[in-house]
Amino acid sequence: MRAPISYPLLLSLLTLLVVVLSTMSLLIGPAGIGIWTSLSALFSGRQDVVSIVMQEIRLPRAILGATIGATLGLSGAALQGYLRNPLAEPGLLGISATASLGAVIAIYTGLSAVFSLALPLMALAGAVIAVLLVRLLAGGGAATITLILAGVAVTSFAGALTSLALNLSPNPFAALEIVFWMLGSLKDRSMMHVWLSVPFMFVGWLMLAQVGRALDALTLGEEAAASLGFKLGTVQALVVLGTAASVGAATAVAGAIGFVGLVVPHILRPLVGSHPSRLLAASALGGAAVVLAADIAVRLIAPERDIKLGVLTALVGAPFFLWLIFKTRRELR
Amino acid sequence: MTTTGAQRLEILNLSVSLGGRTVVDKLSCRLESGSFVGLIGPNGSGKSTLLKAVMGLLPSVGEVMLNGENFLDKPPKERAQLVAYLPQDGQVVWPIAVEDLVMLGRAPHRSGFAPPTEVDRAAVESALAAMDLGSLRRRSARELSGGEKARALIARTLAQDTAVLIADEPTAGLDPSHQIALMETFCAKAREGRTVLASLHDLALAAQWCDQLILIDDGAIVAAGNPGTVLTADVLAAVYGVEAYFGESRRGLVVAPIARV
Repeated sequence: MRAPISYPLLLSLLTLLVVVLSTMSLLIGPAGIGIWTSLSALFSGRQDVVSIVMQEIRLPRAILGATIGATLGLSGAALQGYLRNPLAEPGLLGISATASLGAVIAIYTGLSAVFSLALPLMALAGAVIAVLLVRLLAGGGAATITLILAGVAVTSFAGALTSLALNLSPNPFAALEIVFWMLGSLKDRSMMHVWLSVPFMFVGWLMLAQVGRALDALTLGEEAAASLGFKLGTVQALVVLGTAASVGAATAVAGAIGFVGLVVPHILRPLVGSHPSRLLAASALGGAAVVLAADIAVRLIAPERDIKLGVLTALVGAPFFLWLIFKTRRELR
Repeated sequence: MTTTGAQRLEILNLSVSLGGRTVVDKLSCRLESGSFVGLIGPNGSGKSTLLKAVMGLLPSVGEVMLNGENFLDKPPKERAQLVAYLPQDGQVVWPIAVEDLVMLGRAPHRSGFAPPTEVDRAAVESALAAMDLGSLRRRSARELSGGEKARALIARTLAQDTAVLIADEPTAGLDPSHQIALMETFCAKAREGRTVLASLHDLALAAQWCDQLILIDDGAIVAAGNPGTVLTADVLAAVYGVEAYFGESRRGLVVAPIARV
C-alpha cells in the first residue's frame, strides 16, 4: 500500500512532536516553576533550588523518557520486521524478563539499598545473560522459530525466578518494593541513570539501524532475502544484540514498560507504506513521543498518587490494541 | 544493463543430504549461456532442493561453477548480482506496494541508505512492463490475486537483472495467457545471452518453450537434452508412471499426459 504521507514529512512531524513533548516534560512537575525561569535554569551554572530541580530531576526524567521510548519503538519495529510477525515486541526475547530478574535480585538481597547503582547494573547483567542464553539455545542459526522458542523459555524461567524471589521475600516491604519496581517508572531517576543507560541504548540503536534493508528483503521470506545477498546470521546477531543492549539498558533504569514496543509500530506501519526499514526511524520517534506523553500524563492525572508509567501504558495500550485487532479483522474479512 | 557477458553455469558432483537422506546425489550438468533450461521431474524428485543448493541456500557437497569460477565461494551480495532466485513459497509478509516489492530485486545493486538510481528505476519499469503489472503498481501486494502476486514476484527477480535466473515453479497459479507470457519473457531473457533455469510441472510448456530439459528422479539425472529426446513414451512411463499423447503443433512438440500406467 502507498504511504498516505511522505516519509520525510512524517519524520519531521514526529520529531516536532518529540521536541514539544520533551519541553513539556521539562516544564511539568510539582515544583510549579515558570516557563522561562525553568528553561533558563536548565543551562545556568548556579546551585539554587530551581537549577537543581531542573538539572537533577526533570532533565534526566525527560532524557530517559525520550531515549527509553525510542528504544522500545525501535526494537519493537526491528523485531516485528525480523520475525515477520506483527505480534513481536521487545520483551519477546526474554531480555526484559531477565533484566527485571536482575533488578529484583538486587532489591531482594538488599544490594540496592547499600549501593543504589547495583539495581541497574544487576539488571544489565541479567540482559547479558538472557542474550547469551537465547543465542545458545537458538544455536546462532538463522531460523526465527527457534529464536522465538528460546525467548519464550528464557522469559518463563526468569518469570519463575522472579516469583520465587517474591515468594521468599524477607518482609512485605521488600515484596512491595519489588512489585512497584516492576511496574515501571521514570520517577526519581538521576543523571547517573542517564549516563549508565544511554550509551548502551545508543549502541543498540546503531546495531538496529543497520538491518533496515535486510528487513525489507525479509518481506519475501528468508530464502528470497538470502538470495538477495543478505547474511541472515549477521542480521539475527544485530537484531538480538541491538535489542539486548537497548532494551536491557531501558529496563534496567525504568523497569518494564509494556505495550509501547508492540503498539507504536502497529500505528505507524500504514503511514510508512508498510516498509520495515522506514518503520525503524518512525517507530523510534513515535515510541519516544508515547513514553514522554505517558510520563507527563502520570504527573498530571494524579500528582500525589504516583501512578506508575508501566501501568498507564498498559491501561491505555491494551484497549487500543484490542481496537487495532478489531480493525484488522474487519479489513481481512 | 549491468549483465556481465555470457555466463555458463556448471554443476559438478553436487550432493545434498537432508535429515540423513540423500536428496540430490552427485548430480552434474552444464547449462550453456543463452539457453532456457527446464528442470522437470516428479514430486519429491529433488528439483527444489537442487535449485536451493545451487543458490547456496542449503549446505551441499560438490561445486557450482559460474563462468569457470566457484560460485558458492563468492560473497552473498556478489552472488545476488549474478544469479536471481524465485522461491516456490511466494511469501509477501507486509502489504507493500507492487512497485516497491519489485524494487526489492534491486537490493544487491544498491548500497547503504542510498535512494534508488535511474538504473534501478529503469530495471523496475521494464520488469513491471514484462509482467503486465503497470495497472497494479500501486496496489498492496497482499491484496492481489494468486496469479497477480506470482507475476509481481517474478517481476522482482527480473528487476534483479542477473546473468542467471533460477525459478522454482514460476508458472504455478498463472492462467494460460500469463503462462505463455512468462515463457516468452524467459525465452527473451535467454536470447539476450542470459541463462534461465526453471523447474516446471507442465510438460506441455516445458516441451514447447525450453531449449533444453533436465529430467531428474531420486536426485539424479534420468535424461537431459532437447525436449524431443528427453520426453519419450518410455521415459514418461518409467519416471512419472504416465502414458502421454504426443503431437506436433506450430510451436513444436506437444506432450499431454492422458493416463496412469
